[in-house]
Amino acid sequence: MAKPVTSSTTSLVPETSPETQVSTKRLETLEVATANLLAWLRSMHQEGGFGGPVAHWWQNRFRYTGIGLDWRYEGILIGYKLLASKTGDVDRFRSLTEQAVSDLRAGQTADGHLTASRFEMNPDTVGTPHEAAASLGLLEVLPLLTDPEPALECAKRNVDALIQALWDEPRRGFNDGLHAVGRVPNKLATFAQTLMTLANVTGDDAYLDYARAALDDVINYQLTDGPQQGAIHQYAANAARGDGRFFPYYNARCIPPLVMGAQVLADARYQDAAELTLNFLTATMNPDGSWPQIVYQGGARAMWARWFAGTADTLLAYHALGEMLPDAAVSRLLSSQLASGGFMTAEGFASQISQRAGAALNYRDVMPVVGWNDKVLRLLSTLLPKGTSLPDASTQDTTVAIRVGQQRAIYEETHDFIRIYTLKAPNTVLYDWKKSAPWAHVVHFPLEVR
Amino acid sequence: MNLQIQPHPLEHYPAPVGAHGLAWSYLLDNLFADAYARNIANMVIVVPHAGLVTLCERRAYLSRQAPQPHAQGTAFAQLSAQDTAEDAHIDRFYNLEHGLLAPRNLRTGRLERPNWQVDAQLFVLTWQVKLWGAAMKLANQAQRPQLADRATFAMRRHFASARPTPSFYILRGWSPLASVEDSVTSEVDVAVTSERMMPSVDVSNSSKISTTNSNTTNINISTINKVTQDG
Repeated sequence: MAKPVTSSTTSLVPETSPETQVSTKRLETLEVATANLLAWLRSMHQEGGFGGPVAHWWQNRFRYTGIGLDWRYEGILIGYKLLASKTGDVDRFRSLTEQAVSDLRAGQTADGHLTASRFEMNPDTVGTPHEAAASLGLLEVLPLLTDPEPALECAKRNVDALIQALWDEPRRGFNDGLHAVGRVPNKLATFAQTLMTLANVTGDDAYLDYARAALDDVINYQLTDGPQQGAIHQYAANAARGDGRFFPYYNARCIPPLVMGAQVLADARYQDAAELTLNFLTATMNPDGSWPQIVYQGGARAMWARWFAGTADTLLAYHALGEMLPDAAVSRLLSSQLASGGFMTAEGFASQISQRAGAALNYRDVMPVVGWNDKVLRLLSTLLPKGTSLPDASTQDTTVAIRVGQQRAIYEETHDFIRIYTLKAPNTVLYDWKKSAPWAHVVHFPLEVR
Repeated sequence: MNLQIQPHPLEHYPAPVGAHGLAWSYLLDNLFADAYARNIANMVIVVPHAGLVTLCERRAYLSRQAPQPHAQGTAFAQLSAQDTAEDAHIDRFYNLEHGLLAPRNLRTGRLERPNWQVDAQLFVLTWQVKLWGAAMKLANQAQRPQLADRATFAMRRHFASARPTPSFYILRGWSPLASVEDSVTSEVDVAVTSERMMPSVDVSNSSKISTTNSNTTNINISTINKVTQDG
């Protein structure tokens, strides 16, 4: 039985906890970083939504630079909500929130899905976990909205569409896509969090049954002993055995939903699974505060690329379990913020195939991506204490020396454009994106590799 | 960008999923990005598979989110058949050919188009996809997932090329010869074997090209239908 939405909080994950707050000497750094990140995000908003290139492990999108209604809205919306609370500047962050909500509502199609919701595969639709993550953002900000009903309706329509599209009745679980039976635990975790939040808002317990099925699949694919104890398989084709690939980043994204599931579904197995996963993360962290991209079941590792901005989700996992954030990882993350205010994506993309260390920064490393920076916004706004006062942004135009193949090049970013050009005269432009445009000018074709 | 889509399904044509889905993401993104950069306001696309209709519509919708303020040109994209549109009605023409990696029944000879010149081209789903795909399969059979992953990304790196190479799909962009010769950008952009990928014309000068037939902003539907049927 549904009940009307109220303005009470819908989040069951704590905003802050004393155990995980960073030291006070870092507070000013966090405030400046947040102010500059907010300014950068504004520069990435175009008509209809947040846009920009996407660099990712699986694929990339440097030609299509239009709006993406995907998981970027999870961190952005939750970040705005937290900042409204932490700074007391409710009007400012309500306005930003309502703009972002408007983006999602305008981009919802008649079938309930979202336009361009596949992030690194945009502008495709029915993105997982992207649509669920965006809907989670919508549900989290309901208390901040002047009129929450349209946002709730948008989220509910989307979740209902996802259930209809992905539910695998014979196996009582959710597939990863429309055309094949398969399980991706980290995506199931995000969807479960959305389902639990929707159940909490609407009072419709039917969503909890789906959430339980999703979380059960997450823990079914966790190793409970052996050298990789706690790790969760990345994928299971045909909903059969796991693929033996363990991504620390994606494992981290399972933790907050598992913690929430333990509370909402009153099932201690989820808490145990979350703690076991965190042990895996701690065991696999590199000394510099990064994580390998993949740990394979046999023990081999894919060390490159190593996330910068995405590390925020890993740190958020520590926070969700009330653990101290690894200092090296926090320092490494903060050091990756560019003068533009955006956080770099990664280091070592040039070594994705060779897996040899020592490659120079390339364009995929440096390019700040909204769908990674939203995770930083969410983390920073979580860590900031109540009563925070954000300074004015102090962003600047950015130039970074990079390599494009064997060529030395420059990455240049202003409020209005991103450009890559060769360092050698006459400075041939290789890539040119006007931030308001849905398509970039890719002059040097290898920059478009997907 | 106003879009008219003419489905012209070809028999046994691969659906745009899996590797062909990735291929079509390259083809359509490059086509729409090129049209956007050239201030195309109206485009007609003839597609060889019904599954491509929504993919085109979505890209047209997203292009409309930030329309070019001076967009006025007209383009015709013949992605399904060999025939072409009438020159007088269009400022930009695209065609899709199927290369050596495509089934024999889909392969066509290279299009000739008098008074028009290819200024951009893209080769998608190249022979190296097959090579690295075999490496992936071997690595998986040997239960070496780390090698399979590396082969996957090597395959991805070679999935498409702006340089001529044996491939399944070949997308070509054409400009009227007169406008190319008149264009300030023609010297650097008309080389057929250019490494550049679409759009290969400097955006700041693209209006020069699209004004050639700028008074013709509406496609003659009867012409399109004829072209489609003829194809």
